[in-house]
Amino acid sequence: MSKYHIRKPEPADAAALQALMSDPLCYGNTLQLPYPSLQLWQQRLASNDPLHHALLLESADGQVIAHGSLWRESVPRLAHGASLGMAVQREWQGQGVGSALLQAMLDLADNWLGLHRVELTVFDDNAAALALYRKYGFVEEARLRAYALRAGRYEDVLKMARLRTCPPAGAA
Amino acid sequence: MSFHIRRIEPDDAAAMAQLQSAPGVVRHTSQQPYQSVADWQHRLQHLPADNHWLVACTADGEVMASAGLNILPQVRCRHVADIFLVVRDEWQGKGVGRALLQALLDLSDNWLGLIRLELMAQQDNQRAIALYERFGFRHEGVVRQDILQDGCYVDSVVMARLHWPEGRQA
Repeated sequence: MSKYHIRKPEPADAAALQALMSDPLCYGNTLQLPYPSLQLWQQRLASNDPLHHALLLESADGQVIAHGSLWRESVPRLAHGASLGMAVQREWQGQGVGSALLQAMLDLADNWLGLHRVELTVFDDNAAALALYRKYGFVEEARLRAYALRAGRYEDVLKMARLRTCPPAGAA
Repeated sequence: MSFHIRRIEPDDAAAMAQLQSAPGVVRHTSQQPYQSVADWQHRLQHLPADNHWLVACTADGEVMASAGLNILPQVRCRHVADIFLVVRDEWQGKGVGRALLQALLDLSDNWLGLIRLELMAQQDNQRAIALYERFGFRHEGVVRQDILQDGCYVDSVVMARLHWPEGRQA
């Protein structure tokens, strides 16, 4: 039996996602805030935004161990693109969980949403995330100086993106 | 040439629909070629408090250009805004864009206390890129196949200007 599986989040996952994102490692390296409320996650899970596609990864014993999101662009001339964000629970880092979730999100982007460009921002000292994104074809495009506040300092982030290389089916 | 700068009003809807759908503006922004006045009325009547938009007008009230900044919604990026600047074709090269950009930077630095102003410019928009460079915006990278322009995905340059208020992190 597999150690984990991937599924869509459900409203009942609010408390588990609140717990995941209460770890400084997770909120600090994304753009989230300390002390996320249960209500915030309940609202997010209830929002049904057609531009937002979230996935989570659950262990064999039912724990939520990672969460990822794709936000499609709403402006028509940017609608071939989406932004990606993800977080993996501290104890599960370095065990292939991030790879599995990222692969699932890129499969969604490439083969089921038809996106051409997936981009993200990452703090430049987040070595594990950088290595993961590079492994799956993300390339650094820009260094955004002083882009986000983290633990009292305005830090640089790297903007990375991955372009779909294969043409849509039937194009040949 | 005389013009004055003021904050945008809902009554500028017709002027904005015309300005933002002009071929030269559409090409170098993310705008669409056909725009309705009603859509602009709705947008300008509901402009969020984090959007600070200005227009430059001739002495007889014609809108020549518009510029604005939008503070980012993420709480940890509240010191950042993205900016735009559009000038009607017939008013290009007459100092209106420069004056509007100057007004926007004054608003940001001295009244809003923002630290980072950023923008994306299509790579063939050399006139805009040169203007931003003169005002201290630096190139931060190239975003590949960022935006649909005339049927093709084209690259954009990311530019940003940092301004540290006294006593804050440098």
